[in-house]
Amino acid sequence: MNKLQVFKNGLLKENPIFVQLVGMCSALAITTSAFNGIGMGFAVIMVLVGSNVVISALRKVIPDEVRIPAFVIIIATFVTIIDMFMHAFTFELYQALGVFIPLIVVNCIILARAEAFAFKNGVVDSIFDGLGMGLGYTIAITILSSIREILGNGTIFGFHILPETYEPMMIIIQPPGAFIALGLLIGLVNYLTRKQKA
Amino acid sequence: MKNNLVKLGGILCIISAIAAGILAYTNNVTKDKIALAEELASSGPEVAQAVIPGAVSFELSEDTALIEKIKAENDKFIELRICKDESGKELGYGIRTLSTVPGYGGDIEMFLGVSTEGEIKGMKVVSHSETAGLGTKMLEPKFQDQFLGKDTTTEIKVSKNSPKEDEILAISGATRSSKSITSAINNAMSIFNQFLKK
Amino acid sequence: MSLFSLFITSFIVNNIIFSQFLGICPFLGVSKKIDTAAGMGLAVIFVIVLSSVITYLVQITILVPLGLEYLQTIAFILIIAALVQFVEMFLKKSSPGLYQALGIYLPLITTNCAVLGVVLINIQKEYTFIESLVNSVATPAGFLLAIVLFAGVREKVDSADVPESLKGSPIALVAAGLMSIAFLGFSGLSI
Repeated sequence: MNKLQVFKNGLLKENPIFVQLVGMCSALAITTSAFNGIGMGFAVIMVLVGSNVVISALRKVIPDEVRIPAFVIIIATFVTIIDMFMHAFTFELYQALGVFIPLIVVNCIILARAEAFAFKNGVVDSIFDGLGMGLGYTIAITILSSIREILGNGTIFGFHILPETYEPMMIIIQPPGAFIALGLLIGLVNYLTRKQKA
Repeated sequence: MKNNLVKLGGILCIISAIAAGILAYTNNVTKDKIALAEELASSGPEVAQAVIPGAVSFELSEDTALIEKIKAENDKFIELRICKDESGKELGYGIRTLSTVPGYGGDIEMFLGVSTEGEIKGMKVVSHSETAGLGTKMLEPKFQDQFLGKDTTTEIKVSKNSPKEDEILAISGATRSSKSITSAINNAMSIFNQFLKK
Repeated sequence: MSLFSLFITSFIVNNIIFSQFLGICPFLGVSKKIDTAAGMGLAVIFVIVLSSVITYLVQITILVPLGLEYLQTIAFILIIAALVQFVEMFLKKSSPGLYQALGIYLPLITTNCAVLGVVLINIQKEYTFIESLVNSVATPAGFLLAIVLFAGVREKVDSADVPESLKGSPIALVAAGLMSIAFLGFSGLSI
């Protein structure tokens, strides 16, 4: 498939959160504000593109039998680099995302793309795959975070958009809200996709 | 067979070594910036201003005997800073302490600003793991201003509605966070009363 | 905090699934039947306890003294990957039935956020060795509890009449949300 198709794949047809249902832990845990959502998405895109490129470039060199440990080392290296950079340059975001930054290393999306795509395709294609999947993930969690932030706090990216008289729906910011909001959002996406097919 | 194992192990070792090397380099490049970011967040001018408005000097107390005495009796105490205004006049103290009651995500670490006369002038939370949108409301002036001017000789309690003289209103839906930060404030006040009051 | 209250906190008050959101992928993936869920839960307990001990020792004897804390993520995940490999080989020989039932989800314990999450949190919260041990038993025990309860709920939900768009993961997530509300009730517990 051509580069544009590879890119679009990650956005819609095989969207990591809505369709593949991978990378759920972070999707539920940090989506309490739109700022966190975008921040995490950005970190994931960096790691995903980085690891896809390196793994794709080394695909003829890495023996098949040890590919999983090799992937893990490469991904963990990128995650640590991003962790250090965020610690140094985006301190507030670093504190907000906490332990979920190093946990990007076990975000199934990254290992899945390494195994399913980067190991079998060229470097440029892998860049587009990484960008597409990463962006698909980012859009999904930003939508989820925005819903939770608007309904639970009356703000988006810190700006008040609902009137002061709005009583925030507290539960949506708390853990149950994450499950329910994500579940209903996936249900909505399913409904829209089915309607499109019919 | 054995040759193959050695080759596989060898390739993994090379990849690990390169990874470790890259990380060592990145660590070197970022560690100063990280230390700076951490220091700014815990004792920079922004913190000084929040702890006691008007404070431009926020140096550690040099009274080592006093510090040792406080540390020996209060295991939640972390450090003591002297707040001075631009003319060099001593405004009061920045008492850094942990909470005695953990919040939703563990201990809250903060500075309480107490003037030399014993009045609460301000505060700054240095580290916490409370829920974004809920517990993080404790960082807002709306919540923190409740403590200003409170009597430092009585312990402040948390009330869920209609707070009395020695009480403050809890954050709706974040009682644990409210109780935790209040416990830190109470601890700082007791340190002031026991060791710093003239 | 006493060891007992640490246990209760890690086990139910800050339940790893319903409160901390670690381990969601296997939670959703392996909870279709109660016995596979129980098997997965026990395997996770075993891996987490062993990983905590080893990673804790590596942290205090190698990483900190040599100033190599930045290698923590890499080192820990490699230790976990090796351990899971070991568990896989062990199960294949001693309990082939369970090995078959867990299938692809066994090697996936490596990418289970719960395992890396717990070992990282042990270090982050500066627990002593004993505290880490208690946390490492209580937390995955909470995972076992959550996954078995959820499997029970799911067996009922799957046979109910659910709107087409919500079938499968969406309704499962909503059900998990309702269970999470129940667990929220524990947050008032102070021991």
